Amino acid sequence: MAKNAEIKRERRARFAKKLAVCAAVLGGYYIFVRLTGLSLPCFFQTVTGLRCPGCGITHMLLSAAELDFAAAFAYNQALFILLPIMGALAVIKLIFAPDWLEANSRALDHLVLIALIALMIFGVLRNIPAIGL
Amino acid sequence: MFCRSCGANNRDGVKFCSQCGAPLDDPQQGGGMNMDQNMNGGMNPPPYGAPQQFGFGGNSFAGTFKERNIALCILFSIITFGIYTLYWFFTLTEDTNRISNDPAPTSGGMALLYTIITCGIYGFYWMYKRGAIIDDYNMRTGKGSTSNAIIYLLLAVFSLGIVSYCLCQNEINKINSGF
Repeated sequence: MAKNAEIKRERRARFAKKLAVCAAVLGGYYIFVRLTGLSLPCFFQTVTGLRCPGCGITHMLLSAAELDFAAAFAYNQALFILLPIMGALAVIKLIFAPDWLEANSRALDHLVLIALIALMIFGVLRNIPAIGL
Repeated sequence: MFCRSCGANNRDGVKFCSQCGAPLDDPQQGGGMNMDQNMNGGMNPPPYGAPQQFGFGGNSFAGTFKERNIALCILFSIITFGIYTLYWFFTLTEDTNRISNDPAPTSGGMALLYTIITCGIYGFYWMYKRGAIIDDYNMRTGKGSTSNAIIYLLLAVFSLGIVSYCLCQNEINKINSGF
């Protein structure tokens, strides 16, 4: 009904704003890295010497931007899979604004939990040299 | 204002709950954070600055949070090599989201996910946002302008983020006890 359309419109507007900010930050960061050759160090790696689940994401993005997907996959396997999934969900949320993708929905909570557990396991595995991640 | 059906927090002026669609125009819904719980037979809260006289406190959140002993939180963080800190991150997010005016705040799980995939950079924004939510709550409830947002961020920038966690938890404990 009318109020459903109003809700969806509000959701889409809010989400579009957040996405725009993310895109701006990502774009700005990419330009910054290409121009200066500097990138963000990983605090976790500096302190413990171990690689956190997010390490390598800058190199991954740079390789992906040059369409070298094999190299991108090598830098961070988990995020190479996870980020496109999140991107697809973001597009779905932007176009359809479904309930199950709304903040604090149970489906979203479960998805996030799975992603977090997967990242934690990845964080452990990638620091075991024998596994070769 | 909070929806009576599902409890989601909605921006003032929004007609329908953004979570469940229930109408928000019930006059009982108005008043937001300053509403007296009517524990004292209809007595109005005392003016700002006057001492609190009733035991339960003068805000609608009192007693609804899990009060956490900050010293214990630090102890657990140390003995679990920081694993407990991740859980604390999650609970601080969920608790501050409840007092926030944002109708769709980023959940604890999502904030943790974003922090991990950005190698901690999102964490700085998150820390600032916790302080901003508390500053906003203080403004709305007449406690004046505070600067928790910039303080938490500065501490985090100087690798003292754990102090920000303590300060934030302290604010939540205060609100829980009726402040």
